[in-house]
Amino acid sequence: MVRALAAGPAEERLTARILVVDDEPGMRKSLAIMLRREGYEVTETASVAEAVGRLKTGTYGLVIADLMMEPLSGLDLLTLVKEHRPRCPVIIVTAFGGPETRQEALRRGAVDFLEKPLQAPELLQRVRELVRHDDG
Amino acid sequence: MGWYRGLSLHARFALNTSLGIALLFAAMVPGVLYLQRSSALGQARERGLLLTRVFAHSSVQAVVADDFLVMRQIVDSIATDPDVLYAMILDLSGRVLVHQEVGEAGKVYRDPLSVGAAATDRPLVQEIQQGRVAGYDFAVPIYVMNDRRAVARIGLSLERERAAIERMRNTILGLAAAALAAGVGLAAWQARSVTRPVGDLVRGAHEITRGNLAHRIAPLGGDELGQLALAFNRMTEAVQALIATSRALSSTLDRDEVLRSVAQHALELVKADLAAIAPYDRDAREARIQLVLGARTERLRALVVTPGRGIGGAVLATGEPARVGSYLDAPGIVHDPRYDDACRAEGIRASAAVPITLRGDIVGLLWVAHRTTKTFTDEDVDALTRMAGQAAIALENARLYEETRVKSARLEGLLRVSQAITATLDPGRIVEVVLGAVSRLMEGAAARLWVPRAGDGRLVPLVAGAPDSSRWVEPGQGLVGLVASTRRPVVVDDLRRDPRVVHRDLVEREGLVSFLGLPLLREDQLLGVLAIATRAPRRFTEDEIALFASFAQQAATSLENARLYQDLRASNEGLVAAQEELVRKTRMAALGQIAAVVAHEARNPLGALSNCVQLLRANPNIGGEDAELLAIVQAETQRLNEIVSDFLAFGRPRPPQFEEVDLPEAVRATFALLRHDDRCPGSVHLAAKFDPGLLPVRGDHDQLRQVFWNLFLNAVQAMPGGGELVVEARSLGDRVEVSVRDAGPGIPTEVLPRIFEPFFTTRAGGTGLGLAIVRRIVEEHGGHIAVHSEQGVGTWFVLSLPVQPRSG
Repeated sequence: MVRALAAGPAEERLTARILVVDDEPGMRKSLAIMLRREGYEVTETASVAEAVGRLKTGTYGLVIADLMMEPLSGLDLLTLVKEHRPRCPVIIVTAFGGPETRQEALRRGAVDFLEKPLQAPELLQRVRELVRHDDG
Repeated sequence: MGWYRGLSLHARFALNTSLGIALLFAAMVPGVLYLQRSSALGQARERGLLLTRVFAHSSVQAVVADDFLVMRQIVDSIATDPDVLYAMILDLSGRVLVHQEVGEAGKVYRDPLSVGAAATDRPLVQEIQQGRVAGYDFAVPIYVMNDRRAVARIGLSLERERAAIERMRNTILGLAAAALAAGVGLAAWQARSVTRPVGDLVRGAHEITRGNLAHRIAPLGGDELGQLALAFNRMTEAVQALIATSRALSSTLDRDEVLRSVAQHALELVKADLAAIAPYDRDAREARIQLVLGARTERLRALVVTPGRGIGGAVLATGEPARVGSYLDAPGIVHDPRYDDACRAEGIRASAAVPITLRGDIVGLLWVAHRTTKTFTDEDVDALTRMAGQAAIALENARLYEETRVKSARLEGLLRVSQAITATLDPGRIVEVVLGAVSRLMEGAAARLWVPRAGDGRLVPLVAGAPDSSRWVEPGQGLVGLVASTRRPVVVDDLRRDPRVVHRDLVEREGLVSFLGLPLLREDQLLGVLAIATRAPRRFTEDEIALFASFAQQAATSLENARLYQDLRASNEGLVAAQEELVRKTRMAALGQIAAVVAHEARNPLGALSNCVQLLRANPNIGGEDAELLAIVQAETQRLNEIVSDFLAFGRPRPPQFEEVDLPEAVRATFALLRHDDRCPGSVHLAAKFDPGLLPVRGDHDQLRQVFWNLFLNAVQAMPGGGELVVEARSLGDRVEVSVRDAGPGIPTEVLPRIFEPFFTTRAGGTGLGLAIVRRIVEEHGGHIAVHSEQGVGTWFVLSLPVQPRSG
């Protein structure tokens, strides 16, 4: 399955750079591996500040950010992304999110709001849609 | 004279009588003696004069003849008279011609008596004293042819007369002394016989003053003293009776006792066969016999005496006592068949009645009667009148006492009611106490409280503490309504004749007669109407109205207090519940926060773990046992996640998003999931029964499914050996009731109240949050849940949820 996906258009894959922002290393790394196995170029950052630094210097087709981070949260990052890179989609991931947080995230411009543990097929489907859409 | 006054009546009487007799004799005896002496001397004088005349006359011949011999013979014959002291014949010169003593002849006596005698020319009497012998000297001239020739002279001794007189005097004095002694004795006896009854009277008076009224004076005969004694005895009897009556009457303050005592004493006082007493009701203008003694029938009992009719009526009309010898034949009495019949039935003949008056007003009648031919005397009537005076005072005292007693009882009642109703804040109890007190204070009265009904303001009676809407009156309608609309007491003497009565059936069934209605007011608000009705005619006095008005006021205040208290308690209970709820929620929130933090912290590693497992399982190089182990890791990760999800659902609940939920659908969907879950034994039978017209409920679809999932999972897990899970739902008004019943072992009673508590679990491996979440969701839906369990039978949950309101 993963192999099949990875066998998609090379151009698209290469340009589809994804920025994963999570202060939980296990979560961050496993997610990065999952995405890389699908052929995406993944940059891992452990904080919003670091992510912002990456966003300044590079172009990303998608940002997947954890909600609960210190000192700045995933929503802060979302806001910053929407200010400076309004066309870059952001998926917010959280270990726990109530309907309000979900609403808030969507209101601020997040394309999706996913709860951990992530279901791999579901996540990858969303990523494929977004990245393809972004480039298309 | 002091000594005399100190003498007893007896002694004075005796002394006076004796003195009188003595004086009488002292006055009489000298007179008698004088008369006797005069008579004796007069006789002696007459005899001497006669003798001397005979002597002179006899001597005439001898003198003429100077015959001294004859003269001597004559003188001697005269001298034979033993009383003759001397006899002589004198010549005119006083010379003795002849003398009984021969030697004396020729002498001339020169003493004045002799000279007087010789010179007298007519018979002369002179008193002489010859030695110790007294006598008379008589001289009678002897005439011859008118020529005085000589004088015949005789001396006559009075010795015999003197002795006779002496004897007579002694006799008389002896007799007088004897008579005097007899007189004194008689006087003493008489004095004693006269003063003895007086002494008895005195002793009697002493006895009376000493208080011994039983003392009587012995019969004394028919004279004035006897009559006095009789009068005295009668007086003592009357006083005794009066005192006995007075004592008996004043010994009790009980009106009935007083009446009985008066009647009893009246009977005894005049020895009558019957006696009756009838207090007079000034307002009703009638006297009703309240007590009869000696009656054979019931005819007299409660007989009403009308002024002007019968003997009692005559007394009532005139205010004067009356008596008749034979009632039925008595003229001048206005006969009435009621009285005449009663008289015939009782066999009454003579009858008397006196008014019982107090300060000039008639307050009652005292009536007595004989069955025999005896009649009542004026004295009887006087005695009865006197007793009636006593009776009036006693009755007045009894009345005052009764009034005081009733007043004090009422005040006490009021106090007790006040205490009782201020001691309770239960309105039902207050009403009960007030009505009970009214019934106690007004013997046999029916008391009822009417209250305005919420909504329409109609007045309904409280029956057993609850409003009885089967009867009602509008304000202004009927007597209770009148009290309610005027907010003033209403008094009705006779309900049976009052056209305003609405619930006449009530009046007739309970035999109600007189009515007093009082408003229960708090400020201007009517809390109710206290209706008091008696079963006997009664005129409510101002005092009673005031008393019961204060009852009503007291009740109103207490009811209001109770209401305020109930409000206060309700709000307090609300506060307590709110506080408990707050505490519970705060605790839940705290728990939730902890749960959420833990869950959140667990979710991240769980998420990483999950990612890793998913990645590893995608690796085709891993197979065999390793692949199996990875599958276990993935399943356990999934289970762990469910636990964490429970914690999150409990700790961070999301508010329900209400929509219309089709319960049967939700139940069936949950059943479907359950059938595919490993935890549900295949031997468990799932059954659902729904009312055909079951309405959809208002709820959060996901949350309700969570509720059913948790309940059903619990149920099937309680039946590992199989059984039936029965879910039923039915409409109950604007709610739907769902019951979930298993056939498990049941939950122990001591555990049952705790099963909804978070983290409480009896099952190894459970979080203890399932039922807590269920309850929270149900309550957030405006519903409630209850659990029942029976050991060995099963457990069933009943939850009720509001139906979806129909729009449009």
